[in-house]
Amino acid sequence: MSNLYSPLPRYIQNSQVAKNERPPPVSETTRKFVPKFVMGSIGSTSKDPAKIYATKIKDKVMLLDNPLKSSEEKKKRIILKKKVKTMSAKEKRQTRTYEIPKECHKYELFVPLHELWLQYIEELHGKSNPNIFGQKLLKADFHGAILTVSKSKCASYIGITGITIQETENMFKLITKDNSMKCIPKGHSIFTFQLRDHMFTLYGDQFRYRSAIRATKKFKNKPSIDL
Amino acid sequence: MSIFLSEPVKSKLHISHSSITLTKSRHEQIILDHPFNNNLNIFFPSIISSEKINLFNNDFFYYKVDLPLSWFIERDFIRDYVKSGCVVALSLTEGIDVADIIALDSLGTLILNLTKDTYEELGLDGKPAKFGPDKQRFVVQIDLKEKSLIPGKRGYERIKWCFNNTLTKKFTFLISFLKSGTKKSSEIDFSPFNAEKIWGNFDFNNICDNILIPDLNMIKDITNEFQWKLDAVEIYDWIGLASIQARRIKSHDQVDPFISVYKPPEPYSPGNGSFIKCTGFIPSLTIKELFDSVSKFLQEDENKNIPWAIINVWGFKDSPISWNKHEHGYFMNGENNYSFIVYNDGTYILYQALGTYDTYS
Amino acid sequence: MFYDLNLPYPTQPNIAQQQTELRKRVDLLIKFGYQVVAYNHTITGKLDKANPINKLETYNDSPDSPSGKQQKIEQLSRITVVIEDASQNYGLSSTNNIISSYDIVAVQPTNEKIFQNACGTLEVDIITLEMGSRLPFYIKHGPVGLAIERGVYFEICYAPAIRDSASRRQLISNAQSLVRVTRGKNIIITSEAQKAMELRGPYDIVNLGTIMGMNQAMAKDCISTNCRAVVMHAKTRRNTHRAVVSFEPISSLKPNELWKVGDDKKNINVGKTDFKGKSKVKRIRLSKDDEEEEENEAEISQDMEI
Repeated sequence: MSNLYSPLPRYIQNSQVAKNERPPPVSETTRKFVPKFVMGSIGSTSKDPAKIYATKIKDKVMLLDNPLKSSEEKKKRIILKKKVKTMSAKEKRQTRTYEIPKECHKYELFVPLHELWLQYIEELHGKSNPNIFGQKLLKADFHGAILTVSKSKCASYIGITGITIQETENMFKLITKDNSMKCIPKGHSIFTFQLRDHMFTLYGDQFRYRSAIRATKKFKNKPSIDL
Repeated sequence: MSIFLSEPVKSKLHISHSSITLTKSRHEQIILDHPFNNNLNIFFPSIISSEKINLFNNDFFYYKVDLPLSWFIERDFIRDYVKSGCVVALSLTEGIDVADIIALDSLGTLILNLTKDTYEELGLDGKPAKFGPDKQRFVVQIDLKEKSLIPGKRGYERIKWCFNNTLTKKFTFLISFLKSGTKKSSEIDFSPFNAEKIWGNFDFNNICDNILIPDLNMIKDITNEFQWKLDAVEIYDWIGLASIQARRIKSHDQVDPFISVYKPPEPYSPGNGSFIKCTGFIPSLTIKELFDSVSKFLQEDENKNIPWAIINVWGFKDSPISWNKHEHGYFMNGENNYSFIVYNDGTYILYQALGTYDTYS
Repeated sequence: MFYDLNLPYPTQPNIAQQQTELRKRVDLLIKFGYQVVAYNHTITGKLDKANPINKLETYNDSPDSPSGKQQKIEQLSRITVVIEDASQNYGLSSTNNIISSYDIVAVQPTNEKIFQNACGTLEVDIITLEMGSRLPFYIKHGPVGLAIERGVYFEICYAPAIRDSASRRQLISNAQSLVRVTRGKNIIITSEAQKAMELRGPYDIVNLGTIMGMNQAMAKDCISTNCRAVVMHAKTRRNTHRAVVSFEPISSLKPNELWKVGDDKKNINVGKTDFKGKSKVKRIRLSKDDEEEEENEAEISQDMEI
């Protein structure tokens, strides 16, 4: 017992706080108002209001309101936080935060993005052989890549080529050379792109995560690449 | 015992009774709506002299050529052939249950019956096939006669892009062409591809002597429908045996009953018969001509000693459609055959045999 | 397409007689209309020998040539590992070089524990059982359901039934119990024929399937679509990272696949293409000079088409 806790330093033991002698910090007006108010309000019911005040109230900390239950408190706090920090999906939709305005659907606008991506992916590639690079690709960012839909359950997506300008959980948004934006679901489609002298194939069905989550997630093996 | 041995889906045989003299008669339609005919034979229950049999000479020819699909959507081809006559084409690959089949029917519709792998890379919209395992085959139809199918329009350019990029494979086609207004096969210019021109020859020298021929007059009129059905099916059996010239219908056949107990439908009588045979890619119009000349021959025969004739037609087993654009497939077999029994007064009985996988009914 | 995913490969392939026997069998398969064959190499014990399977020549020639009944068949290699000891580690993972040199991996469990293991965890495409003799254990729903979920297929080889009548009886009864447990899902039918005599055509196998308790359509799937799924599963295991990414050198692409990398010479959109942007992109993408020249040439020809 004696070894478990080391004793407090001497200067603290001697201080007022340790001896609980220091009165709570109260302003001058309170000091004057409270005794008068309390004694006045209980004067009719008790014989000796001054004694009650001295034993029960003086120099004590009291709560004047019922305390909040802890869970309620949490809820309120979360609501407060949320309101400050993020928008709901509905709001995002209403304000069209993630939509790309129509006047920006231009291929040339995104060519610099593609160049940036090429730099990035070259850096990522480095000198590693394609085998290892394939694993890196799982976590890579595809904004700016030129993707082609090479296989799909839906015939009209096949053959669309364009720069990826947005990746969501279930979609790639591509901008094609004739300046139109195509939204292509990742599911039921296979994408290809060229890098150095290899053609890489992405199987969309297994790729359906948001890019941020994808970077940290471990991929589960799927039984088949069949569509 | 067996858990999944459900009743297998049955093949179908449709039998109809009518007369060519009736205005509502469907015989022309039945013949013309059946585009891919592989084999034809005509049976007469007597020996026909050689000068008479030459009445039925109706030569035709077709081509065997390796073509990419982009050839079919070229404007010249559509203008010169599809819109000015009747082109029929069918690809010769493995079965329709295992490989891609391309066909062009007489109405100018290009039908692509594709495997899942091909379809998912092709890029043209299609429908899942009605038969076979779920969503493992797809059918794409392109109407070549459609007005909007011209260069520059989006639909056309898409098809062109697909045939130039995704499905560039060459298929071996059988193609025949009949210019509208004529009843004879016409030439097709295939340059720069090399086409092999094949003449469809009729074989007139097939005589079966001493065979047992049933009296087909017994099913000429329907008195008792139930009995008529039984008789008609029995006679269809006999027609099948006759068309392969089986020895079971010879009058002197003495086969061990352990092997076969077949007897022709009674009443039968011994007699001789003669066949006209033809194999190839037979245009339906040629068959129609033959049908007409057979019925005319029977009606104009002075002695009326040929009471009837049988015309058998076998369709290609792997054709993607049977009659009238109805989808066709191959399960355990891919029958789409028909037979006419034509009597000398114009009455006919039509048998249509279909395999399990067929939507025609 | 019809598949025969089990054609035993001769144990001593150097002997001419065995080679000709193999060729006979393959020729017959082609005649029957099969389009894919897998040569099987069975191993009992340790995996130490390299892949002995050499694909026969002349069958893969000119894959694009069209013709009516073409003389070609796709050839795959397959390994079947007979596992007798559950505790031993056989190294059945795609990182093993010997395993990854085969297209398809199958296991043959000899007791129930290994069977459960194979259904639940082993990285294989096919689970095969010796159905020509009495099975040493019952096939149970639990592990089988797990295998179906993982896309692993069960194999029924029909050749033992043709070889002698005792195994025929066993095979039919075993196959029926397998069909009952799997409810007819995830089954493939293969030949395992040692002689050409023992091979059968696809539609005969369908009829054989009805004896095993399947209906005709299901039996037909067992030699076509189900086998395709096996090959797909094998490809997923071999060629992809977690079934997400795969790669192949551009030089291995056929000309009719070049559109997949955006090299669409006949693309209709060429007229609207912004060449300036494109060529800029290419300069960065291609590090080798000669390749850039090639690309530029292609562009010129595009220009002329317009």
